[in-house]
Amino acid sequence: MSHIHIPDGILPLWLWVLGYILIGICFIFGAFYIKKFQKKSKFPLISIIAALMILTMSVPIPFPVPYHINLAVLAGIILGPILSFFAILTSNLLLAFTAHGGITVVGLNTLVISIESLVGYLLFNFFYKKTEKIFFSAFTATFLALIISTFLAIGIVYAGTHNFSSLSHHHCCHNEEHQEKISIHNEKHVESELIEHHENQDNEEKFNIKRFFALMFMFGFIGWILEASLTGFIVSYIKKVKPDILNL
Amino acid sequence: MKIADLDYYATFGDSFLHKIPAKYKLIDAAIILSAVLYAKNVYSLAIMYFLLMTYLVFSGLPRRNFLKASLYPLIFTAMFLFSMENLTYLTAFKIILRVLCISTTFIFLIFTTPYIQIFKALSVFLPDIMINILFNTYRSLFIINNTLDNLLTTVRLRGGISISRPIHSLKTIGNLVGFFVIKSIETSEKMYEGLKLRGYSDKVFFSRD
Repeated sequence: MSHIHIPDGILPLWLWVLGYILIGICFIFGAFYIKKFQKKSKFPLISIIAALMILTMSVPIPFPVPYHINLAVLAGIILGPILSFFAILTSNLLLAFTAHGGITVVGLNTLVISIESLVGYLLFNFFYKKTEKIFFSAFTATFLALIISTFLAIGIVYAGTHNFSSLSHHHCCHNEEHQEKISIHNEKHVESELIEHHENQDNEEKFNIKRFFALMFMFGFIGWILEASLTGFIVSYIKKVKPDILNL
Repeated sequence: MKIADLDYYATFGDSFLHKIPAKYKLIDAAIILSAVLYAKNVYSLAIMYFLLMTYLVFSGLPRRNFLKASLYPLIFTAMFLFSMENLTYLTAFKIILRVLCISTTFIFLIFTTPYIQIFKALSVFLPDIMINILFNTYRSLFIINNTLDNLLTTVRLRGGISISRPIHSLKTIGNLVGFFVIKSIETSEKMYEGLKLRGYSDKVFFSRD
């Protein structure tokens, strides 16, 4: 759910280009890390985790909206935050070709989910060191990471759409019309024109962040609990059967 | 829709679109994407979508599955539209048409081009690391997809998942995915050993045809 599920054509150019630039920087840093620490043997593991994420992301859980889990925190716990970035980028890129998430928002999606994975990884290690309770640590880390990434996703969508009138072009037309009218009419009419302009501004198309937040929270909350519980059970099982995978 | 199903249409389809080289289709998709992003007029977007639908009618592609995949982003567009105040029909149509034009274009690409051909075309400007991981992921998808299908069948046959027992069901799914993760990691280790034995040098080479 932390995915920016806003499809192509809604977020402005500067925002999604910025997303691509940021993941470009992360990519260079990650590639340098792989080269320096000889992590090329981890490619098949990164690929398997990416495939696992794609399989789980493409299976919608029956819910009011088609919710899906993305296992980003699990990827972070198993691969670490740097290598999980590559798994997340790959899964987002492959899914974008199937119209799941939009090709222009791959950068922003990767950024949000990578932060989710990083936060989840750090919190999991912190909680596990403090409590030594595996289910609790994985559950809490996933739940908090999902909340943070959802807020981040909402923030990004808001940054790109709060000036929504530029997309519909009504705002600029109103302004131009208004300027023309002001120059034509005499001073007596200016006051009434200004009142009309304010009324137009009230009727202007606006992105309502509160409504969007309510929708995300309403659908997201159950999803967060679901994903956090699932990650908790998965990590507990791995700890019982093959603990060396978790690098604890 | 599962990637394995999309791959089936891309590999075994024989429409005229399947015969066009992947790089031209990628360039075409990029042109349509740019045109849609810069289109300000709802009529030009409607014409573009009409043309794409005409392509679909004459392409011989499975229409039902195609539409199912291309209409999928509308669910999330609806969520965005519900968050708008004073939304006019014109703006709503503009947004919906933009979304549909881009999703339909990429579904055309993926329904008619195998992923390997796309990776090959992308290898011109994507770094080796990325192509390597993309190729390995694509390979892994089919290997672990079979394992997952078998595991899900086993759980269903044994009545492991039931809505009346949600916590038990979640635990069963968690254990199942946990087992699946362990098995997948073991598969990845074997896969790497196998690739190394066959001379894999952390670089993917594509044949000319």
